[in-house]
Amino acid sequence: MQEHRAGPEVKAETPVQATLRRAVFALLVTVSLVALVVGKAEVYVFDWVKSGVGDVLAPVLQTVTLPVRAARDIGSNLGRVAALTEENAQLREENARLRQWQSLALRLDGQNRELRRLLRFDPGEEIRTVAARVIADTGGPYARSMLMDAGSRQGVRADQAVISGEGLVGRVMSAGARSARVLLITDRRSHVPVLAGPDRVHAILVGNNSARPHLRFLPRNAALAAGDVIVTSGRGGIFPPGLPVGDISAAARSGGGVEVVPHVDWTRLEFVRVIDRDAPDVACRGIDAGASRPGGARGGSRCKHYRAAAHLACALDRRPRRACPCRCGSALLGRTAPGPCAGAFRLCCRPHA
Amino acid sequence: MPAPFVFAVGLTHDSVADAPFGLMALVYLFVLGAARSQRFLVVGQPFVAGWAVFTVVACAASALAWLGASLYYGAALSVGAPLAVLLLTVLTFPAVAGALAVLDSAALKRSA
Repeated sequence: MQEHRAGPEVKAETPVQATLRRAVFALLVTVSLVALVVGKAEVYVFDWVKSGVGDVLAPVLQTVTLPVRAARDIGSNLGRVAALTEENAQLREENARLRQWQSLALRLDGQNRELRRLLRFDPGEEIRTVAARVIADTGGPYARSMLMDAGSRQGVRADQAVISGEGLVGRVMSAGARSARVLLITDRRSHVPVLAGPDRVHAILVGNNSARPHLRFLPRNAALAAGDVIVTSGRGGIFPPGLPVGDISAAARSGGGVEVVPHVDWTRLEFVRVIDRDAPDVACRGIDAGASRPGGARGGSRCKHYRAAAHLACALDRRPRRACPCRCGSALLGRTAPGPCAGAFRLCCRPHA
Repeated sequence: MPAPFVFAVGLTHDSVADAPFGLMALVYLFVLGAARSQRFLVVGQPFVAGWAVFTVVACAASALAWLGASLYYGAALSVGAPLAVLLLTVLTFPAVAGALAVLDSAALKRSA
């Protein structure tokens, strides 16, 4: 192995140069510390920087990850060749079963449409989606996020839900012009209001930077079993209701909550869809019509500037605090217990990107 | 390497890896400071000594990053992923250092 050797002689720096160098070094350390403190106080300040860097590096990352993806696919496919015969037999069996379900579904769909027509049922808001390719798993040791190749030019904005064919992936954290960063449901900053099990118990799915997020704020008497399905509840206004998220794992309830196995296979995630609900202030209308009027009372201005879960802000600002059913995050959970929940309030009310 | 360049690399890393903004910039500045003040430990020493010093600095940098991230998020984060990154960094050092040494020699020959 080659040995290190002394480099060429360098000219010694003058005292002034040394002082200047130390001053620059100290200044940069201070700037780093200030950036950390500012970022902690208001997490959205540096989003535009990160979005810009993502936009610039998106083509590079896309190119760099191509051979990695190809190698991973080859390895994965080789491993599956051996199991193809058995898988084929299983698929035939499943196909036959699904055909029966299809005929049942078609019959029920016709019946459903007929009944809706009779009731003049309003199907609610139409959901538009934007397809995107995952170009990089950018999360480091301290984050679980990814970069996709659709940004504000394609209609992607912060706080939109992101799904795959398997289930909920996460939400858009920040959007640049051509790329956007998605916060995965496994990241510790992710909090998703969900319904758990056949009893549809309200809970919050909280990421922990591992492959298995936890359910928190479950009622004490919640009866959940391994394999119970978790879907989004729709509370909070970010995630539409009914999106499949995962299953409760076989592991017993631990101190950190119930473990959930997400439906999404993170290692094979290639394409996603971004749900564009495009309904700002929609939640405000249900609480207080006056609150969403521009130039109205305090609640109005807040609802104008805060999109997600604006109903909470309305409830907070338009009513006396004592009369408020919930002061903050507990409203998301459908609980009335008061408590120190400033963090949850921040979760509910994100400013427009 | 000039400190502003190291700072910019750190901020880019923070942006790409979605780390707390300023964390890796601070860690890289720490590494730069350590490298500047302690370079006499590796200059003229065998490769293994350089690798050992690199390992110590990498461990310290990883610990600092983990501590900073844990303080930032207000909870003790899992050490599994940072340890995996550290291990990979230390194990790939010979290959990367060898490649850089070859480039360094070529550049010196060209300039001579």
